[in-house]
Amino acid sequence: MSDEEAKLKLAKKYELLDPDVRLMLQVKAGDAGAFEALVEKYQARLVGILRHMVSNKEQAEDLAQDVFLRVYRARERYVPMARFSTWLFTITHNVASSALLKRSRRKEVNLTNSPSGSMPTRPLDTMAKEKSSLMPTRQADRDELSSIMRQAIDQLGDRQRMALLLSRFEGMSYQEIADTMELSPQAVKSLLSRARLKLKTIVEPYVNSGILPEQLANSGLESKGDSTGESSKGSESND
Amino acid sequence: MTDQNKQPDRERTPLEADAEQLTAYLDGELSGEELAAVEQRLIDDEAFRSLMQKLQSSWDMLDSLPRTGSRDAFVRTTMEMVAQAADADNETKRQQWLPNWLGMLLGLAVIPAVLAWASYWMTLQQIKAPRKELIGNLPLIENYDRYMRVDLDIEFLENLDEADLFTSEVISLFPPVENSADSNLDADVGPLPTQEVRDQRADRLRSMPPRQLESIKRNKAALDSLSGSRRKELVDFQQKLMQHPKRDRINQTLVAYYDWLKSLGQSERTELLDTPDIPSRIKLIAAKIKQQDLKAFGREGATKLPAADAEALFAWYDALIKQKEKKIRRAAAVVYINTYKEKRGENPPASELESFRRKPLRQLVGFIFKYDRKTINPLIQDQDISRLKNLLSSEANSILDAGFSAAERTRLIINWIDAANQSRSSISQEKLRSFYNGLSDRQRDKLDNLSPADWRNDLIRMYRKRQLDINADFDEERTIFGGS
Repeated sequence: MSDEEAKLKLAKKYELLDPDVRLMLQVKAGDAGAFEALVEKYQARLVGILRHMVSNKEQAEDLAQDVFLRVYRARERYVPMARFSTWLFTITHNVASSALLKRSRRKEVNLTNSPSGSMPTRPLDTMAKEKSSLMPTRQADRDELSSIMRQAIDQLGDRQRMALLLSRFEGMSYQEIADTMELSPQAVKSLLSRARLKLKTIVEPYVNSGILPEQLANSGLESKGDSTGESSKGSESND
Repeated sequence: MTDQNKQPDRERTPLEADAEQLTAYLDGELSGEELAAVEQRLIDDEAFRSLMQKLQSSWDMLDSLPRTGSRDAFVRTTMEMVAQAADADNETKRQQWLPNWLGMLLGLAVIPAVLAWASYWMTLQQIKAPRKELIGNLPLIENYDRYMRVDLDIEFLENLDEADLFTSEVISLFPPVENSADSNLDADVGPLPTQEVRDQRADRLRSMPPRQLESIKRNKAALDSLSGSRRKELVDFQQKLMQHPKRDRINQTLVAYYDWLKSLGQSERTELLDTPDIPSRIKLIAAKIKQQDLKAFGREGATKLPAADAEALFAWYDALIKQKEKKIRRAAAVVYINTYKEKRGENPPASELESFRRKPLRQLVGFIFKYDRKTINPLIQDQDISRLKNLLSSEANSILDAGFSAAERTRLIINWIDAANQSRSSISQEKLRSFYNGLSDRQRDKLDNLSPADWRNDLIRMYRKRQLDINADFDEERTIFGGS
């Protein structure tokens, strides 16, 4: 079978299997309604993923719009070579990586990896105390846990975080994540394993004795239990 | 590709190696021997099990992250942005083609004339074309849904027809799900019309009931929205099928194959499409049909066994679980801890775990079946099956020996055990009443025409069958976890 035939067969397979591929092919044929349907279907998921990659919701929405614009501009040369979602998240990954790179070059380290970036503009424990005095305990606990998890994933490297988000919130298989991030499945397995270990290391002191990640970082204890081989703040050395 | 795929140079620590194995396990990425090895180690090695629980627990805590939605106007602003970009792109293209002054001249002089002519021509076509096209493509439009979901390959369908896999017995075991949108649509789509001339098609179209006509229009709109090449592919296939000497048989096979595909999950359908050559694909289809057959037989197995054999099965089962009590209690505790964490996001309190461990054995087995059925498999060994065969009648033995492999036989027996377990647990009146209220009108009418004794027997049979099919009893779940 020639490459061209193999490509056609693959394209047909995805057209048969994936309704979103069929929508994208309608976009290619000039159907703006089909594009709107795709935007409606994926907007929340895209903004959700990007929100965990960059510093604020507005920036996440801007990047999501950039992703959709790229999808639209690519419509004429679109040939389905994967599920639509895989293709979309590949573009998302590229857009997010490029935004993070630009930011780090400009040294506007206002990204999620910054200790004072993203969520915590005030110390976490202060926030938690304030909340617990205003709301029912359960709500305060949930908010505190949410903040801790937010801080925890912020401490992952960019690729670990993206792999984690795709696995946990998009339910992608290793192969799909590998296709999306242009990695091998083994590399994805390794990324996710280190991400899980890192998360465990960060949240374990909180679960066991209520120590917040920030307190842990200040005490310098973090490295003792962290054998993931990756330093925090987005280091990609072992990512 | 850059160095992204490069593995870290340093060696992994034992903790990292364990974490990698457990991560793949928790993500459902292990299979076969690896899966069995991890599961066995989870049973044997407490530290390994503890690491898994911690990894899973921190992973589950991610659920506490708020779900970020986008603002209400996101779709509208995105569409506006895209429309602006499209205008800008068109403008760029136009400027590349024509100098500005020429473009303006054309805009002023030629385009209105062209528009006027085009408008007249389109109106004329709009009156004539749709109906003409609808009649011409009627068989294709009627079968649109099927053609979009099966391989449009006459040779494959010929081979499939010769393999004679879709006998009525198999199909009747897996009727398409009623009330699904697909099935409703299918009910309106007729088989391939044979030897039909254009006038006959037009007559048929005219006499169609409104609901069917609606579905035809929907299919036509979908067909119109396809790319040119895909549409051509469908038209070519339709023509080949119409000219085929065995077209009715081939069409019946196509319809049966399409119905059968609905019983498969997405990954199974992908597996079929990924199987390159026709003989291998047909072999795979045959294997899947056999698997389904076995499963359905297993579901019915306990009730089909002669009474004496059912008794023998229960006796064997009671002896088996007593003999393997230690293993069963250990496996049930692992399943309990994992399920508890999955549902509650935390470890069960020690007192609750202890109380769970003391529950009757049969209840623990039922619990494993409900929450992690595969844990049962390693508990049934060859000598256990031999003992069972010695107890069963020759009739029941002939069922077990009917061409099943060892693994298939084990699965069948496990299904029997499940049925035995289910059939001996009591059903409360409340459960039965609630189940009866949940039946469709048609099912209730059918039951209400029976004598009181048959009414109850049939209702219990349906209840059991539903339990085995969906394996989800929420009342019992609430009891086990002490309320929601």
